[in-house]
Amino acid sequence: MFIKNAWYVVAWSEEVTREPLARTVLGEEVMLYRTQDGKPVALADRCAHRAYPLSAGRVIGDNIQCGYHGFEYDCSGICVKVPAQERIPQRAVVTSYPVHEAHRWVWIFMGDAEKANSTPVPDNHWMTDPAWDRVTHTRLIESSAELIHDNLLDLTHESFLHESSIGDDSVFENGVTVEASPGRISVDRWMPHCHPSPLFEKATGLQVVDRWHTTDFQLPSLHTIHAGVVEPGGDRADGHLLEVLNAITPQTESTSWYFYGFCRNFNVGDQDLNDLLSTSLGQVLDEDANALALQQTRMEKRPQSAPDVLIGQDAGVAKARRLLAQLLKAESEPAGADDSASREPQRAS
Amino acid sequence: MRLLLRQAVHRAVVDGIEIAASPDTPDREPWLWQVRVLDRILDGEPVPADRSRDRIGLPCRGSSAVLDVLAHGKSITTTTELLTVHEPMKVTRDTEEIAVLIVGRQSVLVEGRHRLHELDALVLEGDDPISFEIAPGEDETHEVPVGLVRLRSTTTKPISWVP
Repeated sequence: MFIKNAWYVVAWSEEVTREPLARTVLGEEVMLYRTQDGKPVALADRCAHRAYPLSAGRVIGDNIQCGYHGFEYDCSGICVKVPAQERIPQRAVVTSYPVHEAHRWVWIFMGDAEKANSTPVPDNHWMTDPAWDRVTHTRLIESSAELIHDNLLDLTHESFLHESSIGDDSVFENGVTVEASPGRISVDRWMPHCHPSPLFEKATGLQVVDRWHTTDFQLPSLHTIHAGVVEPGGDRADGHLLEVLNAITPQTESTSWYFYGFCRNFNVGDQDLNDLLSTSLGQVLDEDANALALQQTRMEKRPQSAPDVLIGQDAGVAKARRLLAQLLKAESEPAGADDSASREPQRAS
Repeated sequence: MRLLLRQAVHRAVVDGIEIAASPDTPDREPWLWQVRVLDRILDGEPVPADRSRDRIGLPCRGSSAVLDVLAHGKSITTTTELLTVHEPMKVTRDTEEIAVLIVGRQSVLVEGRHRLHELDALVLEGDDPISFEIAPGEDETHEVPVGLVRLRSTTTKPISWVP
């Protein structure tokens, strides 16, 4: 079960080209391509004729041609050509999904298309803002999206899982302020007068700082970690600032896409620093990926009588789980027509 | 740990809302306590033998609601009071104590940075913070009613809470 009436990152802008791209999101096979004027298109990756993947076909003009029998679909998923006959069957349509492209990410809306326009797309402008530099990564994580949400809302794991890079004792030694509001959870940790994390010390040369990180979870897909360091007593706004973007898109119930952007407002254009951060943060993501995959398999085998033992630091985790469950419940309640029915394109009569 | 809960995220219960409870997920740990704001007192609602109840009026929701605290009598003691905030005031809690603040009408500013409006709540647990300042929100010209619930363990084992 997935929350569908929301925007999810489906690909990096550079991944969507004139060549079809196949991707599974929220348990559904989707294919993406660009029109001649560069607009991204997302369609169900299954020809209406015999279910052959459209991603195995070719882009012709603004259409996608099935590679099996040549059925051709336009950007709205309507079949416009059947090579073997003149008449096009009424039911020869595939689902098209709303997409939105901004700041190097292509977002997809898998739910009721009529709700797409009124659903805000989260901000990720740091990915292209010239005043910021960034390194990026992508991972396909072998765990549910829920476990990744837990990971990002309880950053005390940094002290242990990432102790050589972004974690140290200051993380778990300082408490959090958790704020729960509709559609949003934030977990703020203020770490006064301490060392920067090992990686930050290497990157900035700073020794003693006031330090913070705030995970801002815009349910159900994006965690933006506002983080930074400043000289003790300084103003946060004057510090070395980070905006760490973590877009989590379920692939299946037990696997998830992780689109990552680590943006900074200092040493912009420093390629050596970019290389250091790219390597180190890639290792951090690998450590997370390994841990999450192990957790997933252990949890699948765990008896129901042994639920998680949460602690005070898990306040954000617990509240997010509840809000996610509420969103899922709200979508599953019968409120009218089936989602897919309202999304299916209508052929002009 | 501070947990700031906005009015719109409280769980709806019969005749009101649940501000916080331990546990707030069924079947996790033994039941200990629940803080609710009720629109009215449910006539004849029985209190189980092993539970204690505290109730005070909380001016909010356009009239007067009831701040209702249920606790497992053998494990938890509770005190419930209504603060009237018309100037900055300091509230102190013990580290062994969970404090739950619920704002009635209007708004307050806690620790100079957390603005709480009607029915927003702040739950404080653990060793930070043990004292904090509450001040009327900007533009508040009247006294602001704030419910304060304190929960303590009756045993030497300190109380803790996971939302």
